[in-house]
Amino acid sequence: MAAAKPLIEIHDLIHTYKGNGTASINALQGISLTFRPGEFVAIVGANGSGKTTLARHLNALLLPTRGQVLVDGTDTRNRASWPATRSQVAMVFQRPEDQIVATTVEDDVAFGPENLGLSTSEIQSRVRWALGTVGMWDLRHRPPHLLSAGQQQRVATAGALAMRPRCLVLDEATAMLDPVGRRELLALLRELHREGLTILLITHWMHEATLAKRVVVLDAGRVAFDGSPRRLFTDLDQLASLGLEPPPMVTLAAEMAHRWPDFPPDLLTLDELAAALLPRLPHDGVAPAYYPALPPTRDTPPVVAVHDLRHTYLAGTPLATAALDGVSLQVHAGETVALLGPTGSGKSTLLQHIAGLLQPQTGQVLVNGQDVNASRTDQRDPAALAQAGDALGRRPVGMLFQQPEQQLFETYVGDDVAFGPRRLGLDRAAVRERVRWAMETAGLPFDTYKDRFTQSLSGGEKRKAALAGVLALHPQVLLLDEPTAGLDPQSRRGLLATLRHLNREQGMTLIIATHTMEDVVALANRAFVLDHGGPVTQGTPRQLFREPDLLVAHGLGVPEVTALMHRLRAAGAKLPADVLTVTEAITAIKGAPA
Amino acid sequence: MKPNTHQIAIAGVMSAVCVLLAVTGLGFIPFVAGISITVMHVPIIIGAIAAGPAVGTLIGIIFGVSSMILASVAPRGPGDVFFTDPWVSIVPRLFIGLAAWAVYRFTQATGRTSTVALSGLTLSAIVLAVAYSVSTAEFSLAPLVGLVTGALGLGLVAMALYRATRAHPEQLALSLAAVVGTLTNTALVLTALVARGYIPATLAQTVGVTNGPPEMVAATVITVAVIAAWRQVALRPGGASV
Amino acid sequence: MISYLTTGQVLPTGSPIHRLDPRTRLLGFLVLLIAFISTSHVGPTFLALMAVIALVALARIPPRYALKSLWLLLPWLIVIVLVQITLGVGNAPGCRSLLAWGPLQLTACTLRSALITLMRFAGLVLLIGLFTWTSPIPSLVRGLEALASPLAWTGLPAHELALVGVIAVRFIPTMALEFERLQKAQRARGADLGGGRGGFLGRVRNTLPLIVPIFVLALQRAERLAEAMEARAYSGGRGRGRYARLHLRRADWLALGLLALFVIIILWT
Repeated sequence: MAAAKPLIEIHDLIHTYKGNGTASINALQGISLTFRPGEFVAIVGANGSGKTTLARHLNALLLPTRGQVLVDGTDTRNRASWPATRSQVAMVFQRPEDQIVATTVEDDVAFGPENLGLSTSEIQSRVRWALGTVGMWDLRHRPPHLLSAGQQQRVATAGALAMRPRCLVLDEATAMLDPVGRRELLALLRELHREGLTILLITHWMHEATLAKRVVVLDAGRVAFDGSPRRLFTDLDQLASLGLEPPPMVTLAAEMAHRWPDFPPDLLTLDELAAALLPRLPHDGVAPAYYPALPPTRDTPPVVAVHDLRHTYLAGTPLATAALDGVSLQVHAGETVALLGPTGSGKSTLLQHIAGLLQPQTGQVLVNGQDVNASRTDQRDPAALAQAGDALGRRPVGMLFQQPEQQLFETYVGDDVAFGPRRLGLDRAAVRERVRWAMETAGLPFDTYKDRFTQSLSGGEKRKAALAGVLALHPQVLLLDEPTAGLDPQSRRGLLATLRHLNREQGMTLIIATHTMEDVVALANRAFVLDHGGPVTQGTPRQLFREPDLLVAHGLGVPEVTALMHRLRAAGAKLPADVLTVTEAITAIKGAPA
Repeated sequence: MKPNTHQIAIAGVMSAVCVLLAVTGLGFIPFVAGISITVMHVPIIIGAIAAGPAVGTLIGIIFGVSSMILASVAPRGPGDVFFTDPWVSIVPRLFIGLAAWAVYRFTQATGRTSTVALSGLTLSAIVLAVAYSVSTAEFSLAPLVGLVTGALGLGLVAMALYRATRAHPEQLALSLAAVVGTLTNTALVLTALVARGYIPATLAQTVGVTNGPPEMVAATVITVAVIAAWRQVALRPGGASV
Repeated sequence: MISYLTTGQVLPTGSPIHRLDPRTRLLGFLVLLIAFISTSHVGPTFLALMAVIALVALARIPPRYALKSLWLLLPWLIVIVLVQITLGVGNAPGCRSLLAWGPLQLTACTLRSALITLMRFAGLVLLIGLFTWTSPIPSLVRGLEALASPLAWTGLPAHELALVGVIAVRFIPTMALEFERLQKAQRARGADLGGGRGGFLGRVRNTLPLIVPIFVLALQRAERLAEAMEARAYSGGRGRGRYARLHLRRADWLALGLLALFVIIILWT
């Protein structure tokens, strides 16, 4: 194909801005890139690498400090051509809620075409087409607050498509979505790309980058790599030097090359790996035993016990929804238990019951053998009573909500973490000690961070600060509602390490509601699966991962490595089904008789 | 003056915050003896400080309309019914943003002395109004009480001003803007109620004197807390107090 | 209350009023509103009240709903009226005294005044209620934007105001849901929200864990929203197209005609 005229050309782009205070920050330090029509490019990089800043130059939301950005030959500095530029390059942002302007889906998708001054009939036809493409036409009258995050993001995509762009830029558009939402959006993007749309996907998920045909890696405002994903991901040294983590399939493939010298190099996806492994694995012989399951033998009374809990929201009104329908579970001291389920399964509601923030219609919630709702003498603040700690000011149950960075309200980080302890009436020295411990444990060094401005922290840091605020109450049991949602890989790793430390070394009992299977593997002793408010199954992660179909049927999944094992088993290979990590997979495959 | 995209967005969300404060009850803070003061006008002040007088006026319009609707659909007390009249609910709110912004800009443009002077004038005016109301007929108290109140009040003002001269300039600016903005709200709403003949002037004076000062205090606390957190203003030089 | 915010107030009875063009409803609302607040004579106020009652009936609003809001306000209204009579609001020299019973001095003037007050507020409450019962938000928004075009000629930023209103209405339910979650999160941290301790200043400070995040979140949201709007080529209200085409039907012309008639009668009396 003859080289098509480039759609976007970036020449020596430099972008500088004033940070807080007087220091100038060089977000972009001389970037030159070209994007051609029909490309599917992933732009990756660590936090602060400049990806978001770069994205905003593509549709003239930001203008270069020096250098030039041309969209279809027109300089973005040309103000008069902005409407044209913004119709050619449309953008979908990270937070679904904050892109939707209007009160119904269809009115919002119409916003863009309305801005372009098109005729009513043209606007109507575009809205219909865009909503149809993303599969939201039937919900066009719905107000945005009644949509799930995934649905909202599809509406935002429709709004961008209604501009009839030649290029769609997605700025970490999957960050706030659950696995189902992410899958759907990526599938949509693949479809749009097949139909000729240029896709620029900015992401910090390596898995998404493997879907693209070209990957650009940014590092500290410069282009560190520009080539095919295969070339990037299979060069482990280069990945390490860029501070990126290789996708699990790549790690596995690299190890396979040690086992079989003639193993094909440069494998990237699960399909490729399965195809390469299958002929090399034994199809006969004795299937290795499953990893031994460790039945938890507990004779100590559980620290948290829930008996037949039922909870209906807005009971007695026409809008009543049963959030929990007869859930029972027990958690023993020192365990980490995961609550798995899709959005709307009742995980958050269950956690709030255990924390004493909701009252059950039927059933009982016991913490340390005491009914959480029984000692309620002051109806006005039941949570305070349920949280009434022992003489040391230790509260039994602490809870970290979703997007906890929103609850930070003090100007300085130290003050915000100190909020809880201060309310307990502790003296100044005790408060300081608790804050120090909490911040250090959460990963925010006390002396460096206590005087920082709360709003100057990055997303990952804010989450740590919120965690510290809860830890400072010295809870016995820590409840976490989707603690890693929306975090970049590095912050996520840090948070998981912190939680593991809290559980294994400090003996804190953890109950984590999540839909990220990799979190479960990293942390949980046991997991409960919920769907539609009712229990589905429970067991150790190994036990659960033996039945991937059941998990998928309830909106969950299995780690990629486990999925690979199942695929190989289904084709006849004799391998264990309940592999959890890449290391285990490597051991299992290497150990299989040749 | 045409608002730009950013101003429209701020005006929109701040208007939503006004309504939210009203319907969730968060905007009502109990004062004394069953009286609650309101802080639902604070988004107007913050919007004006953050984005200009046009934004403040826009928020004022939406807030006024919403308070009119809420007064009819979900009234909370006897006085609410008067707010179904747009002269009471909408017109006074148009000026809050302008007043707060003007004061804020003034403090930015001039030095600390002028700001402190303006604060002194404002606060003294308030104190004298309170003292006057206390000493006149409807309280049936001797003018001596009024004099004492006035003297005490002016003493407090002097103390406050002394502290103000040593406080962070931004805190002073925000406090003054919040006080003047609240003052505008209280004064104009009460004026509207009297001008429309709904309440007698004496009652208006009483309400103004009892509700006004605590509302100014609450508005100041909130405005300073929000702007300090949002714009990362180092009000306390040492950082956190932990 | 939160559920009210998230589900709205419209009573879809499918009446002729509901089927009117939103612009007609808006104009009608405005005309009646102005009628109530600008007259101080018994005749026009009474006429306006009758008009509103007739419209409420025409809109097939169940009497239960219509009376509910009045019922809530009735005690307050009566108290207010009695206070006004006692204080002699509306009194002028030469008013014929009708009743003298202790502090209650009823004259013809104060009676007239009280009557007007009663009718005016009853009318306003019903009018505003009627408006909320018959105006679904999306159609209201379209009506406002459509009316904004002629208004913009006067130099007022009417389009911008309409958009501000849209954004506000759009985010109120979202913020209400976030508020609920925030409240639980802060309570779980031991916050004593709105509790009575610490005096007045303490109570104000107790609201900060809720109020400050709401504001900060809103301001951050505004920045992102503005970006998203500009990314879709928003550049002011002029020259914008319109998604929904509004048509004035026969019923609308009839309504507008009646409205004009009403205005004339009011001005005449």
